[in-house]
Amino acid sequence: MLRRWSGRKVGAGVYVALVLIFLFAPLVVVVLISFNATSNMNLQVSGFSFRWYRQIAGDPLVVAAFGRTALAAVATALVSGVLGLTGALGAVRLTPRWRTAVFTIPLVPLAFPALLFAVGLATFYHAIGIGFSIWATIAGHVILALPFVFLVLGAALERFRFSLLDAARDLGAGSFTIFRTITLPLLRPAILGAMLLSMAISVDEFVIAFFTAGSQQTLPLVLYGRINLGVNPGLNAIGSVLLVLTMALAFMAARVSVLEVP
Amino acid sequence: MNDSPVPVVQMDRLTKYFGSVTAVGNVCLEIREGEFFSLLGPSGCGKSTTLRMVAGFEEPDRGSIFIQGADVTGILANKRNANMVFQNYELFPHMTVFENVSYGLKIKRVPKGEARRRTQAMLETVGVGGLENRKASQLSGGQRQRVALARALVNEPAVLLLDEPLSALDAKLRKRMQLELKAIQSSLGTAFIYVTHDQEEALLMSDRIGIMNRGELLQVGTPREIYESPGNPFVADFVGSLNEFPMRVDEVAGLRAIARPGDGQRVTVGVATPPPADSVLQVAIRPERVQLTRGTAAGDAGTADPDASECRVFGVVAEVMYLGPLTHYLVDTPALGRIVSQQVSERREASFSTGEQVVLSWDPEATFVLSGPAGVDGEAL
Amino acid sequence: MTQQAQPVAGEAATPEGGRPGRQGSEARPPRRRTSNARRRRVGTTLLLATPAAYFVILFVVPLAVLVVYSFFTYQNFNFIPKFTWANYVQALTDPALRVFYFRTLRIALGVSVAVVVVSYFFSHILMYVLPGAKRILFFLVLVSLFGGYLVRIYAWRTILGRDGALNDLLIHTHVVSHPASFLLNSNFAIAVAMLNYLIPLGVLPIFSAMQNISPHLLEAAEDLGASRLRTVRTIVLPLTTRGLRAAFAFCFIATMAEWVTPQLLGGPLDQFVGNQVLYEFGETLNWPLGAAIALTLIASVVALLGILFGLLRLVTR
Repeated sequence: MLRRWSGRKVGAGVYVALVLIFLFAPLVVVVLISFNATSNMNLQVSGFSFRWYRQIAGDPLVVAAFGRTALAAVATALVSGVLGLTGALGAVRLTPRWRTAVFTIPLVPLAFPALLFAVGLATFYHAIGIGFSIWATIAGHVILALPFVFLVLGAALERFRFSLLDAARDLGAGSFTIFRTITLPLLRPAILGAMLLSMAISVDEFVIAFFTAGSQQTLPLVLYGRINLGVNPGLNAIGSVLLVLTMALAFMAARVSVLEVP
Repeated sequence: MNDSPVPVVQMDRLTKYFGSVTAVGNVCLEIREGEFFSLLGPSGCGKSTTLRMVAGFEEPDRGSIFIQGADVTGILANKRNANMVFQNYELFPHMTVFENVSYGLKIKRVPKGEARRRTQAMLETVGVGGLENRKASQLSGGQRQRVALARALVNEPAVLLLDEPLSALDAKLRKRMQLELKAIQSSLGTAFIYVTHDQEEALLMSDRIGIMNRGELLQVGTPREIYESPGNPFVADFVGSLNEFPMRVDEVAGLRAIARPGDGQRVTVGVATPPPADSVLQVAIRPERVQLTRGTAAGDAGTADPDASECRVFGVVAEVMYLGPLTHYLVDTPALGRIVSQQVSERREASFSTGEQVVLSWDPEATFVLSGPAGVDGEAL
Repeated sequence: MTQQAQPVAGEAATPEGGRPGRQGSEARPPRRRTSNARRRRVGTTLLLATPAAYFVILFVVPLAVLVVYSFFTYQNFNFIPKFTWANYVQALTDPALRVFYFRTLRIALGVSVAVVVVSYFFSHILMYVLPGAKRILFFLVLVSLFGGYLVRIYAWRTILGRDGALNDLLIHTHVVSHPASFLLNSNFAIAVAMLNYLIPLGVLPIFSAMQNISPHLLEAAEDLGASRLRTVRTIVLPLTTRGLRAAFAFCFIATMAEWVTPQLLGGPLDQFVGNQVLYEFGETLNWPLGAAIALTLIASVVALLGILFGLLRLVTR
């Protein structure tokens, strides 16, 4: 539509700006205060300093939690990646009707309240006698990550040129060779993107970890535990680390999956 | 003449730039009341852009548009007395056929009874009466096309704009719809501006055709005018097919340019102004105007055929392409290269076969000169 | 022979020998084709079975266990597998829980509606008012989505505190003379934080739904005489209801089951049902009761959504 409603555009711009400021302000504040030289929790920045980062880097509990968070992220990515890939590959041979079912059912955990799933996991582990641990958490994270893996792979498979597989078969390639030399390389950006996304989800995840990690706390759990002792910029440092990590992973996921092989 | 009625649509020096590209350049055009006018040209020639400017979806950078005499150049699309049939129909998926078609009437606050009457009448006219309560997604391609037509026409616009509406249909359905569209247009008397890249379609349906290329309006005329008297090489080549060959002018006799490539052969071409001797002309002739007879150089050389307007070119049939009602003969001639001759298909015994020696001839009036020395450029009789 | 050996679709499920007439009238089919088809079928099943198994074992089963546990009996700070309805009775009739519930419901509804409204205007602006900036603005929203959950809640705690950033700003600009303590530990704080992490989640489905509307469709409406407002009302809105419903449902479910935000940003009188669940699981170790409360909560959410959307459908047709 060809209109020049400039007044309208200005108003719209203001609205959008306000919303975006609202969305980003808390994150910006966290990061800013984490660099505060003093232990002020407000924006009266009295100097720039890394001291809080040094502090948490020297804190064994934090470091251990960071390690566990990283472990969980990688494990989640690998497991959900493999599961998602096998599922997607199996699903392509189905009728469209079944295919949509396969791709929508894993999405259920998306809308599902985390609390319910978390306590469900807790009771489940209790029932089968498995203690709480980081692995218990990882198992739960995979369920959360699966929807996203399926979404990304589903989209990639939608664009996938299956005629290429026919061409390979025509040239004599067996199923495994086709998979190894054609399917996998062409799907690699999507798979990588999905895995990075899973990592981002796992790093940030709190509720499931809360109920299933037991004493093997992840970084968000450490943050949570210390909030109740009072806020201080050291916590902001932890928060910033989490923030940057999640965003970086998500950003990489986006970049990787966009670099599609045409 | 005396009193020429106000044209339904008038485009005056219409121009549109997309960045550094001139999508539409200085188009001046008049669409008459009740006429079926086609804008014909290859993809990217600017015909759709022109149509969209008339509809009001693009703003011209220069020039103006008049609908029924009123300047609508600055007026928004929803206030113009023109309606469009989109290429993908764009039926509202969440509404029934009835709601789709009566949408425009509802906006104009036409009373419910009248709206219902008009909607149903129009649905009958386009051939989908009885489908009022179906949702758009439940219709076939052809049905959707008709509903889109009804939705536009029910508003009784001064002009109907159609953007390649039949391109999504299969060949048989398309042929049927072409005839139906033409019939609907004649019975309603609404002016149609029809955009297409299919020249056969344009020739079939239109009262007049406007040929566009690279933003320029090259020629406007009736189908016969366009086909038989193309105003420039592009038009000649775009509409119908052409044989092209260069010829060196050996002799000029009145409005005939003659070349003698030897062996008693004679190439005669009609020209508008006599070209200088020894000049080279690029000549074209349509395949169906090239006549074939059996004969050889040896056999004919002696036969005196003093008729100055006769052409005589020898060749060998290289390929025969049987197309059903017509047959194309691809003839290799030493003098002019490969020439295609289109003939009505004969019984097998009577038609020519590959390897046969033939004589090509034509009426010089049927040739076009595509290019040549100044003054002869792009002319034809 | 026929091409039926190539399983596309449900043909994979058709038994090879299921067409006796055919087989009888022709020579025996070469063995290879049959085993090929069967191999593919087995392969497909295996491929699908793996994630399916994982999904069942680690999603469906835990929920089933939760249901089972909700019928257990609480005894001496522990629970035993003795069947009882007591937990559900308490979940449904306890007056204190009821207070929690309606408090949660009130805020959840308010926040969900607010998110949908804000997201809708935001998406509309992106699509139709500032389409040039559409991509980058949407990208920004996506980025903010990954700004974390706990970190955000923590951030608001620091911002809204007595000596937090907001109060600082207010005092600096002389809006108030001393720190406003109502900001934190209040419904306000809870609502603001939830809005903060839900808006990106609301924009996603709504914006996607709008994206799927062909611009030519809107041109068609305009061509038929519709003004902008009418186009939005009669074309855009109806075609985006699915996105709106998804956004609302998602927000509503998430807010009803919230507990972290109320715990960190609310006062003792602001706690949600979720906090009670946490209490039962963590403090009193009355898991059966916790389970029952959680399950009745989700059941009520589903029921409410069903009623709401059902009403909506009635009203719009």
